Amino acid sequence: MDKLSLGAPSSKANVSDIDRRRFLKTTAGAAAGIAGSLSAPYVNAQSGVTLRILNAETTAASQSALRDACNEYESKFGVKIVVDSTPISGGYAKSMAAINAGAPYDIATAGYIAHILQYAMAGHIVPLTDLVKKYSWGKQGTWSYKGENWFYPYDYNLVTVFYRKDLYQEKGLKVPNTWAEFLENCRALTVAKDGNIERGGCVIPLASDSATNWASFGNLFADAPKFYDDKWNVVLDAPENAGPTGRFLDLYADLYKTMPAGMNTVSYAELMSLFATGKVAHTVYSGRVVEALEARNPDLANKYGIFASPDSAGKQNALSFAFDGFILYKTKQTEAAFKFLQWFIDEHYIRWLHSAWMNFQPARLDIYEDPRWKNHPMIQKHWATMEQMKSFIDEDSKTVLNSIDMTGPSFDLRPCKVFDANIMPEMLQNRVLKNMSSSDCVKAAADRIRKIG
Amino acid sequence: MRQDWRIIGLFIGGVLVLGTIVGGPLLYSIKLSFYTAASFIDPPQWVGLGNYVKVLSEPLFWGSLLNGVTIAISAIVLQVVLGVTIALVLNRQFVGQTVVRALSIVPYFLPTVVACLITQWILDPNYGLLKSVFASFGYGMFDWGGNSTSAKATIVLVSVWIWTPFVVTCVLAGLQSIPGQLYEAARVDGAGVMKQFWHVTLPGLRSVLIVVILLRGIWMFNKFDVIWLLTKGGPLNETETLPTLAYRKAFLEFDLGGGAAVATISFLMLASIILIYLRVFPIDEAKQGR
Repeated sequence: MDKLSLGAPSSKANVSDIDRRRFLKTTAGAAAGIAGSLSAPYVNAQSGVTLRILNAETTAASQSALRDACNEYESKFGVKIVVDSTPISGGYAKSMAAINAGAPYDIATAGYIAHILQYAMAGHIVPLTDLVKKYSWGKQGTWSYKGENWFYPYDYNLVTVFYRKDLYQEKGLKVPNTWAEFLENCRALTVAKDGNIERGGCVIPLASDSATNWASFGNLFADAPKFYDDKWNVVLDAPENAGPTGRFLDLYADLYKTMPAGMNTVSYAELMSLFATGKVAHTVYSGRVVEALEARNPDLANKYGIFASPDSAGKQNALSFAFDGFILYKTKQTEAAFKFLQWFIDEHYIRWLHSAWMNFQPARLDIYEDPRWKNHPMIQKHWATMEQMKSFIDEDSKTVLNSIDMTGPSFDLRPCKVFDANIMPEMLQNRVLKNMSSSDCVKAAADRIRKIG
Repeated sequence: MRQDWRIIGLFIGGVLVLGTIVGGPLLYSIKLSFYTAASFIDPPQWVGLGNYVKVLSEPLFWGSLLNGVTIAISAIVLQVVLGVTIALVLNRQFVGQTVVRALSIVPYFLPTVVACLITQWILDPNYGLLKSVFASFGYGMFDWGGNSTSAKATIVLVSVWIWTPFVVTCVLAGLQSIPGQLYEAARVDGAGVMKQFWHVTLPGLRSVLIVVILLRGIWMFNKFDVIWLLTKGGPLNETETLPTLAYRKAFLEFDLGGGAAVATISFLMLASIILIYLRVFPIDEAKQGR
């Protein structure tokens, strides 16, 4: 076997013992390593680092997408990533427990503005402004606090009204432009038998929970009453706001009569399942309804349509929403976590969006033109719906986007307390379960908002 | 007397473990109740009795207390009456007695979440089994979650379903420890079934019932899981109890001081009631009396 001489032998090793094959392998390996490290801006000398991700997207597809990305990252860059998945309701407590235990997560998915604001205020997360500014985003797709972007969004969770096109056609109905038309359509599509509502006109939740806060106030937002003035005084019960809010409560009370029983305990899942099983003619939810239809009732997946919640006068419409995104905690490994996030966004963002192909409606506008995303067969199939959803977030869209936790003159924890305390759902309950007058309900809600500060 | 250091060591170890895992959080919770914090993040600020004053001035607190007492008393009465009745039946000799005794305890093995999901499945106003039964008779389904009374009744029903076997087991053990001669003597004296029950069985079960009612009282007053799984305190806080209120304040509204104040008041109330109860119904005397 030929031997290679590599100059003077060192005192520790006799390199003259190295054969040609080993030399070539070693050289090639070293070259590949150097090339790899130079060509990978994401990672430099990160081996030995373990990152922890708190993931609140718990569908199998989303977990799988994230896990595959992490495995690939580890195999490429030697950075181990541990993914801890938890239902969204448990995310905050888990995250805070980790922070208080001195071992915060490195990255998390988050959506609720109260949590992100609190993390930012307390200095637990780092700004992602540079990353966010690389792209253009849909209307209100990003938000800033103290001039910085604190999370990298991936979806909108717009609450659209889903309706049955086949039933509309059968009854000769048209998509409603006013509250009155919406009510009439719901009444027309209600089927009652033996004292039971066999098919409800609509389902709009009434429980004291996040589902009701999120999904039940599209019609109210369309009439745009203010909860606070510019100085954060509560003005919900001022005449100009109490009027539309009270009329909205009357509308809800009328719609309630067309709903199946159990609205007080209806969950996110039931908002979908009632529609997917044909128990209601309208429901309010995000794009996940389409995924549920394809999975459980494909026939119905060809017969649905969506619209934004109309106002009382037919002048504008509105959608409630609640975006989701990634946040980065301030840890000793923030730099490594940032590099992973950057790599994930470049390499796996599309697959992540595909893991909930209709629910993860992109907040980033360039995605809508990206063939890698667009060519997903289900997105192709429901492209008309996706285009309609995109039209709601275009900058020139007249559709109002709002949410209980984002009302007020700026992003702040005060409306989040209104959300957490279920003040608005209980306003609805006072109207329909206690039969209080609308004006009393509004007054009681406004007083509670003042009380919680 | 010679000291057994192993026993003393085990005792001290036990006290230390209990002190750490029970006393620690308890003291921390009490401490937290004197502070205010908008979340887990904000540094707590001393407010003295401020949280207590605020909590005690809220109608929701008193409503939750009333709901808790109502639910607890209703459930305990039903559990004890049903438990004693079933135990009396199971205490008699009949074919298949062992199997029936074993079956009677099955609900006790059910995880609470399973029992609650089954209940929701039966009572669901749109898909539930009961709806189909009602519809077959031409009746509509009632909205159990939309009404204060039916929502409370559902919680009581599920609690009775799960916990009556516990009462049955305890009472059955108590029944078997009552000497048969007492019944024979009562019969000789001309006592009928009811008189035997009042004058022999009940006094014989006194110590068991005192403990059972005490334990069930503590557990029902602190009941969280069934209420949260079934109604989450709704409709309109009509099934809110002190434990759910404490949870709501601390973990949903992030009013940690308020939640801790509710929990501390609840703890003090329960401790006081237990002390009074044990003073009125001393367990040792009950044993001696038997």
